[in-house]
Amino acid sequence: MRSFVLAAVLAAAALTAATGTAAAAGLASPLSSEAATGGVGVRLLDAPSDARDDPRARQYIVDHLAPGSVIHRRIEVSNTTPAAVRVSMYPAAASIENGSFIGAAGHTPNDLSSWTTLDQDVLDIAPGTQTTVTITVTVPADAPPGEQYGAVWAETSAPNTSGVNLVNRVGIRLYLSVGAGNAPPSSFTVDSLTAARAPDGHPVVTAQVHNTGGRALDMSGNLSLSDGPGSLNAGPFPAQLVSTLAPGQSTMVSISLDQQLPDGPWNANISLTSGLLEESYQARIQFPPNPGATAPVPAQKSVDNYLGIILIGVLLAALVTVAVLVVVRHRSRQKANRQLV
Amino acid sequence: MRKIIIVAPVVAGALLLLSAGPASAADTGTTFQIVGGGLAISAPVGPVSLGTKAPTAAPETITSPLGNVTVTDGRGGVLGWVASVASTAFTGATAVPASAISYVPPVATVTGVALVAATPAIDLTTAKTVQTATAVVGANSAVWNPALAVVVPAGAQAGTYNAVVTHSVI
Repeated sequence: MRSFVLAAVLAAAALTAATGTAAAAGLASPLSSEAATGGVGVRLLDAPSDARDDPRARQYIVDHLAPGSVIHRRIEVSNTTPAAVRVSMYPAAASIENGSFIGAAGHTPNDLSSWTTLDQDVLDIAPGTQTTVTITVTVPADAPPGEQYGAVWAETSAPNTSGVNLVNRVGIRLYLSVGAGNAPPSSFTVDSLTAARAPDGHPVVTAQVHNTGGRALDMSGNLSLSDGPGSLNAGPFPAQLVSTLAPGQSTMVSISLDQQLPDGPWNANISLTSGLLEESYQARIQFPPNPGATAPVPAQKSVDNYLGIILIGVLLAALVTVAVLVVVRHRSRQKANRQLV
Repeated sequence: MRKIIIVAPVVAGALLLLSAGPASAADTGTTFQIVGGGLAISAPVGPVSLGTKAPTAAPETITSPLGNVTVTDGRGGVLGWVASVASTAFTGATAVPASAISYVPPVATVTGVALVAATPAIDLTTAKTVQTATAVVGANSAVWNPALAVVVPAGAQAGTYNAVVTHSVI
């Protein structure tokens, strides 16, 4: 009955009990210090030529394909640890939840992962070297239209089989839109901006962002404050917890600001991008003096600088044209007058 | 003649406006090669012992650190990354479901420009987000040493309990 010891791990149980809160069994210690210096990495090697300028397409497999089409993409799997590693490669399902792109546990399949094949399943990678794996996505002819998410994982696990086994994996995201013709448009709106003060006293601006397009968005951006008390300007402040939004989803994006800022009122301008898409919205907000939130202020779309420059260009061109016309007309009249004389 | 002169700049302006829109994907057959680094996670070290506990009549929680997890983002872009965790149930003399397992990530130690927010997860039956990197500018890395907490049910039998905990970074 003395053996009534409930051990979460076995072989090292006595040892661990003696030391209290040991993080790892002693046998793993030689590796633990070195592990911090490296790991298993993945990177995409190919992207579509027409997406050359799109930062999303450089890190993720983002594509719009017609049913029946096939694409090939290569990824590089690297081992930067000081030891050889065995890496298991496989596709699995993923989804977008609460603003995050998240891979389903283990080998959970979905339609997209069942269309995805790899030319190698198990890699033995020597220290400091890389291996290239080719991903093939074959969209069936009867595939339903819509966007699907998946991941190709490179997985490593600790060699032992008892206790809490750790498995670490790193993946390449897949965003695949299926349908005939051109890709559905990407678009989003910022519906409102809310000024609040956190319990620790920091002012916070929260934006309600809505994906109004047909593709997922990976968002980043910043907030600038202008026309504040004493004509102060502040920012840009980077937006936090802005990540991934599926079509139709909306989320709150919060931006934490400096505690030194006056309460306002301020003209707040939030600028968000996803790939090549960029939008700016603005609203006049005022921070509450004490912790709490104010009422959301509807945000208005800012006139894009780029668009503004084009409009000014068009106006200038029109002005020059009118001026030329006036001169030409004036001269031709003078000419006509002279001929009459 | 005069009308043509007036129309020309307007048409040119309209073309500029059209070309300012995001390019739509058309031919995905041709590709170009990307240079740069990758996204990496440290190789796991283990197994990890959560320690030992005497059986009790009431449910009790056993907690232990799991050891450092390092994410290295060498992609050099502005897109963030998400680390999530899932677990299997503990197999042993008494079933301990994954819903009894929670994961407590401390605030990560970050190098480079990135805001990494830690989110505790209760119930690891499905993958849960535990660290989110946003506002990334260029290469960055994050290290954290999470704690795993397991609620051992009342009347659990003596023995060894095993589970597989998976960290995913994407």
